[in-house]
Amino acid sequence: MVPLVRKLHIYSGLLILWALLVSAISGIHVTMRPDPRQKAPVVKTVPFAPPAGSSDRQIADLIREEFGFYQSKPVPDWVIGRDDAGVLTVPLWSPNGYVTVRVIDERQAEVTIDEFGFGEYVNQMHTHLPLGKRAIFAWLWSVYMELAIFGLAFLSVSGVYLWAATRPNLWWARASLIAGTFGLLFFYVAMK
Amino acid sequence: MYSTLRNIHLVLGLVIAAFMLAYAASAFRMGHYFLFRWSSPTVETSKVVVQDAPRDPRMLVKKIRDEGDMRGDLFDVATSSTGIAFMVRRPGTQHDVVYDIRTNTAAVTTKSGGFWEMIDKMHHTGGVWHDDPILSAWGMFVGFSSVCLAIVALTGVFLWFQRNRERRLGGIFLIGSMVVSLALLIIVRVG
Repeated sequence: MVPLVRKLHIYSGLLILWALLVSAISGIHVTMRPDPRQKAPVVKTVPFAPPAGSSDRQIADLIREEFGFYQSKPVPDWVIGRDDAGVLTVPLWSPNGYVTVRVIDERQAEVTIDEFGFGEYVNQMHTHLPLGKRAIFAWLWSVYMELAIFGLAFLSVSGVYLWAATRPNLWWARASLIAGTFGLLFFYVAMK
Repeated sequence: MYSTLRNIHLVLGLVIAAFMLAYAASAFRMGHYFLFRWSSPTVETSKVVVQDAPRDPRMLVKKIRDEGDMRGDLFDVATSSTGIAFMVRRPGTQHDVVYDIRTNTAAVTTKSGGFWEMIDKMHHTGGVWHDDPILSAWGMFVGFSSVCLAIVALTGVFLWFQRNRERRLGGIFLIGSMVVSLALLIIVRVG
């Protein structure tokens, strides 16, 4: 049993190595990231004239075409909405940044742009990504990350098993497992 | 060298084993939320009456938070002619507060969840900038675990390379996943 589990542990680790490194970089980036509440995105007013008679759905697709970052997620219907003043607001998301477009009138729109740097891009890429037309590469990455989720769970469990089956008497290994587990439980309880 | 790296791989791997398992579980929930609708947060409403309400909005928010036992980070503070609204959030719990100066009463809507909601939101919480020190301490734990993960991954590659029997197939996995994943990372970034 141990040789088989060891083989699977090694192969699955090699297969998802890059997802693990992306997740690690993401975690380090998030730790060093400043308070997001202090961030001020760029806001500008630009000419935007959708064809007369367009539905909100059609305008949203046009907005995605015109203002969205590369690989922007298709805008679902429930996201498209008008505020109390009747202004159409369309938020767009991609791993490269957020864009929110408010159609002020039939000739101009207010565009709020929050473009991601490299660290935030990696952070976005460690998540699940959109499934949709023209976002095929992001979707392929999602498939890899999906595999990585199962791989991560398997590596954790098989790693503990390999230790318990081969070197269970190492006190420092036991202490490491207990420290990590109780650390997690401590934070769970403290934040709950 | 091999023995040292093997021990480092073992120690750090065991330290983060539970953390990684929790992150894998919460990531699965995020990606397949339709399977976890039953674990959605519950919503409760309550009222907090504020005696001797301060006029300074910051002090007022603090007083409401203290009286309503609202721990976490403060977001979306908005003042109006009739009061103040804000949101307080920590993993697993979110309070949306609307305070009315005419009645000195804060209407509080609290969303809170169980185990799955909690680990999901713990996964989303990082950084050391939080209002609540325990959240910043958690952020440091996340950072520490991330560094451990990188070390465990890289030492794992070294340990594999020392095992001659696994080199061929392992090499195919490593190089194949590297080519595909790096290509995707570059394509999605630059188009």
